[in-house]
Amino acid sequence: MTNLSYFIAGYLVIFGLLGAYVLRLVALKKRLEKEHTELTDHN
Amino acid sequence: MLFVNKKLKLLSFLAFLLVLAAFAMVLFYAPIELNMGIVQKVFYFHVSAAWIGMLAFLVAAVCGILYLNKKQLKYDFIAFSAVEIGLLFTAIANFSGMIWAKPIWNTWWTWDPRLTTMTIMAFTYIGYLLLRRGVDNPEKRARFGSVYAIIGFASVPLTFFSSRLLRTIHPTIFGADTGDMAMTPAMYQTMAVSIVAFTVLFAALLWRRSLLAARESELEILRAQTETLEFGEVLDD
Repeated sequence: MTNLSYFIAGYLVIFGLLGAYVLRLVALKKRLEKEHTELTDHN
Repeated sequence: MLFVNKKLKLLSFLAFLLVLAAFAMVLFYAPIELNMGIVQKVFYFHVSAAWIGMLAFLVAAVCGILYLNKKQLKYDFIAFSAVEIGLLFTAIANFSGMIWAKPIWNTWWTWDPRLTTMTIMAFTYIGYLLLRRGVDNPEKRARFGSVYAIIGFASVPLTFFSSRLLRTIHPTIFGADTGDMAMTPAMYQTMAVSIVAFTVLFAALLWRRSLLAARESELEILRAQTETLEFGEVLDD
């Protein structure tokens, strides 16, 4: 690997992890809203 | 609705713009370091991520103290969210550091004091998340979590000062007498913008995650009520 490849890999990891966490928050929000609707309907 | 919050949306958008601006500065404004070459540019986001990791654990410790004083669950939600986000940024700092280390140190990993203390810090906070998973009662969980976050914070100054006080090959950027990584003004400006961008991003993520943690807690209560109702219906039958 060249020096440039390590630079690209570094930023891929940084933005990859940040993006994955944002997606996790979005998925969690959707799941919680769905669960909240189900539980309030049930009650 | 969870995110019908204009201030939060604005903060998230600002964080996005700042991260974009910081990355543009890394690419087009900061000069290429003579000895290390372009891979040195990983360090702008690496240092910012490490800083946010430590800031997040400080926020968790402060919220732990506030919870123990005021017994308000909102501080526990913020502490928990701060630890989760702190671990994310610590992971970013560790992995990006490893990628920088391979061409510079000729190894992905070495048991250097800074790297070792950083790993100890990360495992300390993984322990915090595991501890919380093991406790069902929300108040007990908040109390245990608060005490753990306060005691666990000891690992943060240990990590921060390890490269200043111990023999290490890890470069010290700020407050170093040795000047093992000399920076030009353009490099300092890029570094400053990156740190500000990550700090704003941290604030936005912390706000969002705390709201979700509060909602998780509400659902926990709602679920318990549903189970009680169902149990009552079974008894009536």
